[in-house]
Amino acid sequence: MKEFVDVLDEAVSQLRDGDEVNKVLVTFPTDAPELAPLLESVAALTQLAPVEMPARADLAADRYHFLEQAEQLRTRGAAVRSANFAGLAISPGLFARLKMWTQKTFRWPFPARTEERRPMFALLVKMIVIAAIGLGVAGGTVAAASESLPDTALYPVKIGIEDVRLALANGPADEAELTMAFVQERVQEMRQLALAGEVPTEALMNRFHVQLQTALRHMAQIDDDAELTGLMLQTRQQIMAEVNDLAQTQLQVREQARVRLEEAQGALVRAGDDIDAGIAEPALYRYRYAENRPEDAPDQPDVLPPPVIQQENQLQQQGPSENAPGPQNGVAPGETPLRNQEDNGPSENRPDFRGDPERDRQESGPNPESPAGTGEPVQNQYRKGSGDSTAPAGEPDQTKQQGPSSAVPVEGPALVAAQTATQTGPLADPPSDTGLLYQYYQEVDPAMTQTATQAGLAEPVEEGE
Amino acid sequence: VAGPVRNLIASMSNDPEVIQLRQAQQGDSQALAAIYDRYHEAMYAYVYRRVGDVETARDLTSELFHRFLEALHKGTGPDQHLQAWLYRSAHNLVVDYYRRQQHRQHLPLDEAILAGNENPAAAAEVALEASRVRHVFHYLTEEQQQVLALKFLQGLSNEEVAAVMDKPVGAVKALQHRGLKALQRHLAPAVKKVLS
Repeated sequence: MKEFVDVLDEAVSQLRDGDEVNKVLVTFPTDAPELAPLLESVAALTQLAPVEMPARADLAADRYHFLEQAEQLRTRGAAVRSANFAGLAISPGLFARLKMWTQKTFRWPFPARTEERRPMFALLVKMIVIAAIGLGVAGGTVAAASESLPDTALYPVKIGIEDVRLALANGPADEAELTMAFVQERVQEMRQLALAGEVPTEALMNRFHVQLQTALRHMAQIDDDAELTGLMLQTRQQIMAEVNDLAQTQLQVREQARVRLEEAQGALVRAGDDIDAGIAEPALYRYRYAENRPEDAPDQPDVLPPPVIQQENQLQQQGPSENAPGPQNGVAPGETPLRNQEDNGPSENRPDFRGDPERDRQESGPNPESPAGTGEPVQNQYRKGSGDSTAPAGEPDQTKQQGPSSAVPVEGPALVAAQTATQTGPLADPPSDTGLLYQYYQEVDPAMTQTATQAGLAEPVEEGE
Repeated sequence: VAGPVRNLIASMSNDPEVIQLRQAQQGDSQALAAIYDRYHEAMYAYVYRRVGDVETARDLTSELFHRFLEALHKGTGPDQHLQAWLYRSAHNLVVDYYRRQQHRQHLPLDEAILAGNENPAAAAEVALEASRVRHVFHYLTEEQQQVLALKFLQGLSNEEVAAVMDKPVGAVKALQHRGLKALQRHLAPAVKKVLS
């Protein structure tokens, strides 16, 4: 049995041969109902058959024009060919002739398709141009948003872009690095607002604090010690620069804005201290900032590493000294990566977190907490529990320096250790429950338990209690 | 067939048309004039039936032969099937023309049929006029238009249409079926509306 397309083709052939539609339909009685409307369509097409020809003169003109174009192209081609070898004293060389022959013989495999591709090519070009314009506009908006401040219309775009970038970050290291970049951006926003005579908004301050803490938590999720330490060193440098920037900006802004900048600076200093402690002891840092930290963990996770405890134990055995650090002056008996203990006097190695070292050297006067504008560095006010804001500090590599009250060098986060031993500062309060601290040591580093016990800071919990 | 092989086959052909085409490729003005005289009327008729305007058909046909010359000059022109190449190019020119004119001429079918027909009795006949059919023609796909135009307006055989479109004869028959069906589908409602 014939396919309908073949039946239709046969019927159409009969129609083109001059048969009437009815006669054709009689030939195909079975398919007549389906054929009839289609043959009517064929008849409708014949309405297009008559052709109105142009005038003879126009036809002649078109022909003449065609031949003229052909002659022009032939002449142009000959000129191009002769120009290729113009000025040559000899005939083209072997390779030149071979190239000509190759170009003439081996053409593009699908020459007839070239003309047909042009409309699509034009469409593609249009699409590319439109896409480029669209992306350009979007890119311009993004670029403009990146410079926006909290009181501008594009600022939500900027925050949205940051959220997207954070969502696309790969792993905690990337997240931490990115979040710290956002912290830096917040600091710059605060400074710009303050310098413009405005007060950094509460929302901006909140975002700054949240992002700073988030960055520290992301860092705590990095499992590799080397990677964590590297990122902390990098973050430390960033924080130092930001603290310096904030300290300098405070000299130029009014009181309300200065308070906000001081708040940010204090948060950065505390974060810097934590990072320094983390550099010395990554495991403790992770424990302190890990999101899955147990709720019953000690309130003061800045525990004493063994060398510090030993040192402190020695200090206690030596008894109190007039020059020993205490709550009166807040001077640590050793040095930390942030605070290099030399003496109570002026330090050549003040922490970079706390402002311009050069200015610090000039201003170790009796009123260390005087606000900016008086020339006094503002750095030490963030250790409110330390008592003496002139407590010198130094770089982490200056760990061999020795305090006057201690004949034994102290390394590592010794400030925290000393604070713990002398019960000074907000981080120095020892746990009232030595049994709890004993458990904590056992969990973090069992090797420390014995040392802590010897120091009298932790006692095992006896069974039955 | 790859280009070099095709060129070799073409150079060995004894077909007078192929020989003439080779001469035209060399820039022979007599061969070019002979080709023009042979194909110009058919190409003009094809274009005219598609656009329905003398001057437009003249312009498009002139553009067609100009492209032919440019293709020969660049070495991208036809090697054997000159008629198929010309019909393909003419079809592309018509399609491009309607794309450029689309925003002006693409009126809804019913409005186009009813416009300017105050006498309802004559409306059915008007609906079948050439301009209306030409308008409905544009509702078909490009390939359907090409098959119906080549076969019913130019009188080409299935094999010739297949050569122009570079498709098998079976595909041409299928396109003919779908094209006529689509044409009937678009013509019928217009006629009914006019008659009502």
